[in-house]
Amino acid sequence: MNYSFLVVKPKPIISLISVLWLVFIGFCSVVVFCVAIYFYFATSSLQNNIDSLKEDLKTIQSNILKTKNDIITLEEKKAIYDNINSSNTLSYKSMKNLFDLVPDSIVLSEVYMDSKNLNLKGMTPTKEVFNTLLQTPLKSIFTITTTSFYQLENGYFNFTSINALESNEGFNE
Amino acid sequence: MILSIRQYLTTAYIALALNDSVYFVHTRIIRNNKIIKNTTKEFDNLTKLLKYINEVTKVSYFYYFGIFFESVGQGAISDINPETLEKFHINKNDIIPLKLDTFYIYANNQEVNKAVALFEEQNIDVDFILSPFAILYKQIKPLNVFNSKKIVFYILKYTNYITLMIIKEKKLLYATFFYTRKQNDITSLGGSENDYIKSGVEDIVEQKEDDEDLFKESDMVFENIENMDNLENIENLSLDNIEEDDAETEKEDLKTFVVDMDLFDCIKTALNDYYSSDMYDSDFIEDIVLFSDKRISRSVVSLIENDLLIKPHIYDINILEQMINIMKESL
Repeated sequence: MNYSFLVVKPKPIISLISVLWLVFIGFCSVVVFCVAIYFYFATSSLQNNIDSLKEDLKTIQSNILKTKNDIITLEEKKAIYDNINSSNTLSYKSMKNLFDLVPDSIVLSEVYMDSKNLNLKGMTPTKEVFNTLLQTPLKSIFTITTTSFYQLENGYFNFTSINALESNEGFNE
Repeated sequence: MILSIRQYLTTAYIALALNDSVYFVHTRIIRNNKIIKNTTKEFDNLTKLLKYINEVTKVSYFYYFGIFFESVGQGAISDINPETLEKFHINKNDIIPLKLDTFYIYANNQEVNKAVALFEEQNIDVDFILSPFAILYKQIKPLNVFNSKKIVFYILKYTNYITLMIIKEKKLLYATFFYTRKQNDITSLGGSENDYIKSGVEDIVEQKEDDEDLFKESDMVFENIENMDNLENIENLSLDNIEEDDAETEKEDLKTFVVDMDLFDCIKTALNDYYSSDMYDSDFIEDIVLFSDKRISRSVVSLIENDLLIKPHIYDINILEQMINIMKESL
């Protein structure tokens, strides 16, 4: 039963200002928690990306290494190719020069040529023709030149000419 | 859960009453349903009072502040029907009514607001404004007198404030409030000086009869009820009757006789109004119950008894403690 002319105002344990502060602090805590959660997952996602990128980097580095090895191999192959090509070119030129050296009167039946040796077989009208027109240029090229003849029935001579280089320099050079 | 927490927090109940420019404060601090401290203090100025209240409110988690409403701008009335209010010339818009079971007490709303504003200006919330009528009703309610068919005259005397109610069963027959001493420098919690000494229902009754004639009439009335029995249920109460049986008390009687004569005058004035006015049924009172904060002079008690031919039942109460009990029970 009320005996007072006034109605007693409720006296909360926590005042309105304190409630507002608690709500504000709670709101801030929730926001901070949400931001922390966001950053946690964002960091986690970034870490996963970093790990993935590290894996990619390793793969790429492995590929780069492999590619470098391939490049080295290819360069080696290219060098070999160039060397062969150069050698072939020189061989071609040597062959052309050789055939340019051979006069029309001499007929070649067999030619063997490697980097240091040149063996020729053929038929010449006379020894003098061979010695003058072919032997002399061969001697200027090779260090060792030996030629053997045997006469055919028609008066021509078959010849076998063996030429060699003693030095390491290639014939083509 | 909240209630269980609340009881472990210190709660201060502060009751304030003003008398002759002196503020009487009783403070009861309670925690876990145990009284930690009971303090009664007096302050001669408002600044000291406010300082003390602020100190009490700072050391307590909750505080409830109640004021003894001593303004004469109050009274009690049987109902607040427009006809009744008009009969007693009360403007409904000027009062705050409060129902107490079968009747209403009221207070001038401006004076209530002034009392509240006086403390709220100092950031002290006023939670209770307790009318002496409400305090008196709270005292008589446990007496279970409402089942009695006798007309009982209830009096509450607190220093210079005298509250009187005549009740038959549950019906309020008459009520009035007196301030028995007017001082030039008096301060009122209601914010205004008292320009009159009585209020309530009795306020609106114009006194045209001469006092002596009225008391002669009263004497005749009380001769007729000389043999009336007192209320048995009141006699069986556990409250202590005031006993004056030593010499020191008699000396005190002499000192307080003059002061207590005001009480006798108020009783006579009220009974004059009650018996003479056409506004009341004027049935004869059959018993008197008096609650007082101080021991009543034996001579005055004898005077009342001889004059009214009824032996008053006198109970000693501490108004401020009763206010705190009311405040605590009201929450």
